[in-house]
Amino acid sequence: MEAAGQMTSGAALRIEGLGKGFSLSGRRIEVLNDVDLEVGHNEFVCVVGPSGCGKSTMLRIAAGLETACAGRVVIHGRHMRAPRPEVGMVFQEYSLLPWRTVLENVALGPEFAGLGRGGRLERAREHLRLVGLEEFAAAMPHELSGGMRQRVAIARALCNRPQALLMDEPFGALDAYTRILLQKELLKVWQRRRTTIVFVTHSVDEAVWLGDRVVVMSARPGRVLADLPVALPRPRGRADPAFVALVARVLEMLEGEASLT
Amino acid sequence: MKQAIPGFLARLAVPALFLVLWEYLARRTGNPIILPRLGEVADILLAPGADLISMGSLARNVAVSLVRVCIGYAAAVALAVPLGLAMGHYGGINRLLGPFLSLFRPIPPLAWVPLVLAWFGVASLASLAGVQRGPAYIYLNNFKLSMIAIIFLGGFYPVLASTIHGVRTVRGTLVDAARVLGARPWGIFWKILLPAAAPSVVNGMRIGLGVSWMCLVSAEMLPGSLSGVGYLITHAYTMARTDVVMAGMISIGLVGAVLDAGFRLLEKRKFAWKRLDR
Repeated sequence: MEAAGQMTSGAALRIEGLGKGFSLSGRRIEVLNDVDLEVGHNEFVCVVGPSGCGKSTMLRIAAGLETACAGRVVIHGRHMRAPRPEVGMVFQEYSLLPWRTVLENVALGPEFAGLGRGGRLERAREHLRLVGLEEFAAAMPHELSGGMRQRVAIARALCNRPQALLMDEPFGALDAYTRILLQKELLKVWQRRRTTIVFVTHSVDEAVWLGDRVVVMSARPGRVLADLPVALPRPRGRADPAFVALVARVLEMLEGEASLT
Repeated sequence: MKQAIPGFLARLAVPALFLVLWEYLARRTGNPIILPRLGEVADILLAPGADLISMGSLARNVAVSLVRVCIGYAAAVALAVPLGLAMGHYGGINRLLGPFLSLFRPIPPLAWVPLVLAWFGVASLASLAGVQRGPAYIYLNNFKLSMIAIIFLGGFYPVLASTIHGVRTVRGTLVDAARVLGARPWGIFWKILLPAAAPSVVNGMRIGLGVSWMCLVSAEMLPGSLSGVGYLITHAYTMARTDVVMAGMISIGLVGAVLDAGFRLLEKRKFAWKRLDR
């Protein structure tokens, strides 16, 4: 409600009074309740919260894949009622088309936009280079490891040159070591190809390591509990006392939430 | 390579044993109407161009049957694939047609014979094309609508069911990813649903072709039939030519196996990703 006063703010992505619920065998389940969030241009915001707090649902609404019951999401001045190619998304589950080569997967966005074969493959190759996988252009997705597949998915989303990139636990299915490598890779890509990122994760460590800000959500129905700036220079050290303290602080908040449910 | 030879032998062992048993029983029975000897059947199979019981050669009858099956099966595929895609993708169409179509599904194609005969009688592609005489008539008149209808019914349901299943089991994330990348409904249909469902569709086509081919004998027993392996078998039966019956049966089996193998090869070549995809 207070967000209404900030009409002139230059937010790239604005979530306003978002509410969502659905009926499960006759019972009404409230998933999101009056969520407000602003993300600035080229800002990297991480969202953490207990499982089932609706953070993924929030992202899906922002992508235009689901509709809200109350409120709305505005990205670059446009209300997200349906998916738009200017808003990219990376999913946790494996989302590459298994019958296409890596390059053809990355070229999918320009292909839907009607770009000719030569042009779109050139653009795809450029984005594959961005994630360091150009020598795998002709490979099939099943030939790649889980981490490589997610890098391809990131290249595919960036190939549309999105104004905002929504990431729904993209590294959630990876082992701890690959996860850290991909976090580094993502930061590198983001620093080279600036875009607004909203990154949902289970991992507090990941959120604090990556984000300009960490948004902590409450247990269901999800609300914004805290919005913490991460004023640590990158690359961040995981052993840095300030880093450890911030992680501990967020974990304490989440623990408090867990005891409520 | 060391494994290959015993594997090859193992595959041949059971058929060889079967042939020996057949020959042994045929000699003991000593009655070619009950069980002809191996050599008598082999003679017919090894000379597929020779005229049989004044019904033309085995090869010609197999060819006529193949063309019949192809026509009925092609019609089944042409209808079942688009219908299955629509039913799998649009819940409304499925609710509208699904229960109705499943009512007819358990009815064996053979049970349709009386109705099909009442509707189509001895009408053939010749009557459909309006050809009354000449060599075209003789040729087209071989393909009776009633036979094609029976073969159609055999192939239709397996193709429909697999196509629906194929579209239904496309992972939702693939469709979501395409939508986010800017796909419009038509793009999702052509670039996501169709290729994702293709392995299942082709699997259904393989099964459907098998069922269509199995419906052949019942289709060729219909009145007005004067050729085809199915007719050859029934005609040979009335003439107590068990050797011709068996040669016909073996031809049906061989052709069916070859068609099936062709489809399997296609699946292996084109849809390797389906096996390897996790």
